[in-house]
Amino acid sequence: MNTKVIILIQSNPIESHRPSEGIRMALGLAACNHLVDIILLNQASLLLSNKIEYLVDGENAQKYLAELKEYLTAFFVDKETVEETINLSDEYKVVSLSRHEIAQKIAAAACFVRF
Amino acid sequence: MPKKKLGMMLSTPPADKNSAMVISLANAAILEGIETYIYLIDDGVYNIGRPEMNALEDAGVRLFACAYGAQQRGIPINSDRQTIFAGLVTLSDMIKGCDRFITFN
Repeated sequence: MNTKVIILIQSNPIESHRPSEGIRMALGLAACNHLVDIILLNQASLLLSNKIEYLVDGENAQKYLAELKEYLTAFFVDKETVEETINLSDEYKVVSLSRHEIAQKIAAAACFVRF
Repeated sequence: MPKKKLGMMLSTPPADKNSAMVISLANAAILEGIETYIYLIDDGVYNIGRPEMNALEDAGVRLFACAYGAQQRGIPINSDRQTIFAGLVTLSDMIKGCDRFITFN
């Protein structure tokens, strides 16, 4: 059975390598046939921007994202923060979710990982 | 009846309170006869070789560590302990195979 895994990334990729590590884990689990959803909160949405060179471990994150997008229907971002502050690259299919919708997704998953 | 299986993932270094929680839960699970698996990833690999982790291994906890994370941090992966250095396929199998899988980040 394929397990539904939610990877929620909330660390700031300008300051921390953890967002890139979360993307690496997501790719590994998706490649092992898990049903993976990625939710990016706050500044973590910068992973999907064109400012990858300013991010910690951004080059690796970009490599992982290029492969990961083939496994996902979309990347999920926090509607409240992303619409005001971050210009997302059109390379990725992105769906904005309210906090309520994010909570519902997390509650429905079998496994939840936060980075 | 097959034993219950508990999996835990730890991604924070020893100074974080998560480490003490994982060690405590693992000890309690072993006492209950639950098969216990721990996967150390990211800064969690700094927990390798700690006396508390070695004691868990001696008590029967299966301890895995992310080989990539260890290499990135200069931690030798040819330890003579029972820690098994592995990749994300092992983490995937743990998530699929355990009755409960919890993460500490």
